[in-house]
Amino acid sequence: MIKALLWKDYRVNLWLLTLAVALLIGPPLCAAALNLHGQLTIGSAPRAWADLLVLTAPFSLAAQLLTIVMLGANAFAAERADRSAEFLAYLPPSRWANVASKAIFAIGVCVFVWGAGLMTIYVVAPQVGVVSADLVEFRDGLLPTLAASSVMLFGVAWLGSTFLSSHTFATGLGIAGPLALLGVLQLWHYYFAPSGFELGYWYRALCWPLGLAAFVAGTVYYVRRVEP
Amino acid sequence: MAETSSRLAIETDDLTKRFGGKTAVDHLTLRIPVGTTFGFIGPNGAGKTTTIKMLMGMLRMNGGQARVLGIDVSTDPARMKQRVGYVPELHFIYRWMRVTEVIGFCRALYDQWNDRLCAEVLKLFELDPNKKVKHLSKGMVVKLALLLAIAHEPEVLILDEPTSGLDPLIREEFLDSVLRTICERQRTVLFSSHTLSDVQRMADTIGIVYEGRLLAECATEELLVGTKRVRAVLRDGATPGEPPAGTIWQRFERREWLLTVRGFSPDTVAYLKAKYPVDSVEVFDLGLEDVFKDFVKGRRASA
Repeated sequence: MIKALLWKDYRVNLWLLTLAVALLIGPPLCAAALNLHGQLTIGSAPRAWADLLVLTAPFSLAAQLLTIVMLGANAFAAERADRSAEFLAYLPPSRWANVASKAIFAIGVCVFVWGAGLMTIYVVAPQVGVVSADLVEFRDGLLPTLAASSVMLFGVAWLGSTFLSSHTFATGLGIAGPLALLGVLQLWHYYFAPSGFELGYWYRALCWPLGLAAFVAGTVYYVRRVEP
Repeated sequence: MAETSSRLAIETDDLTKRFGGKTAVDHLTLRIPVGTTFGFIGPNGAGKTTTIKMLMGMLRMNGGQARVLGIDVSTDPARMKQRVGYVPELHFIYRWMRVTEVIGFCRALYDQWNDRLCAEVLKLFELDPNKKVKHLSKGMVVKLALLLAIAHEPEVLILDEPTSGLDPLIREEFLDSVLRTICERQRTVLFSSHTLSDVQRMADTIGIVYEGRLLAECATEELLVGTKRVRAVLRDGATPGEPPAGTIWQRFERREWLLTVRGFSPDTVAYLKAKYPVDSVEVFDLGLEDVFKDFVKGRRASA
């Protein structure tokens, strides 16, 4: 049963999977094109292909935020929007089976895109000896923030998807989640000015539990909900 | 109760559904024995689809209980759906799927699936397996929905206005297939439709629902044989009073007193002749459509 549901979720989200792959390979391909035209040379020598891959990995990972929020938003709302959820509702799979299939697919894609990015940064880069200062700065600075944002974007969009009938609104809600958290932290900082307050640290620290809580809340809500 | 339940395919007790302040289904109690073809009729907004959706576990109930084949639909809907086939009024089968993909998808979701029956019906309905659902005509989608509803050989078939909007030829084909399924496998069918000639042809028991309540429930034959239209012409100056027992609807214009009487017998005519100055009394048979209309009009008038 779960195999059939996974196949269906794969087909429903095929365009998102295509987007994820495009965002994954798009930046290195663009860099390769620029490299061929001599735009990215180091001195007069063109860069090595592995160098280009590592150079563009941060862009790929940052761009995947879009895929991740849309994967969460699309999970339930897409089928509710075209009402195919009503067809699924009178077929035998339980709510748990439905939610499991959607979670396996969406989290699987997230793991795939992040896995590819992390492998480039942590495995390919040291292997080919192209660990630049920029890459180290990204790895130690922006990467944990991107990871935390991804969790929150996905969790909030997933929650929105369980009760909204529009994946566009669910995507909007997903994007609003981290922005709202940033806003609240800024206000906190502005009004209370606590000593040693570091915005980035608190943002990252809160994104994880809030994103996971939203994911769990959405899952529980969907399982308990009777209507498609 | 357990023994009773085992002989009932569908049973509801005080089933209630409210949408905000409006009660769509109002303490509805139904008993549909195994092997019955139950015609579920009522005007628009009577609560038929809401009841069916609750039976299919697709809508939360505000009160009461519903069991299909002895399974409580609110606690174990997945097990119930393995044994029930459902054809809704509106079809939202994945439009991007091909016919063969829809069949393969549904096949994987049921514990049992009759491939031979599926292939037979596919051929009978002339459904192109390679066509995408979005390219099928409305009639073809309805046929596909019926195929999906019967290929896992369900014990109960629930049809919610399945023929609405279909041309007479496709409707005929659809009904023939349903009838064949009923006859071959002695299934229980809950059939809701506004096309009362179809209901009259298919159903052995009729339930008339109005404003979420069951107005009448009895064998089709009994309802049609026992419900008559009586036309009494009163003498000049006479006015009608207490109608005979079983009157569900009446109208008086000039001297003509029209009555629809359920449980009609010769005593009805005798009562009218004895109690009122009548010139003539005539009795007419009624079709299901007239019986249904008079039930609803009578209820509206008394409300």
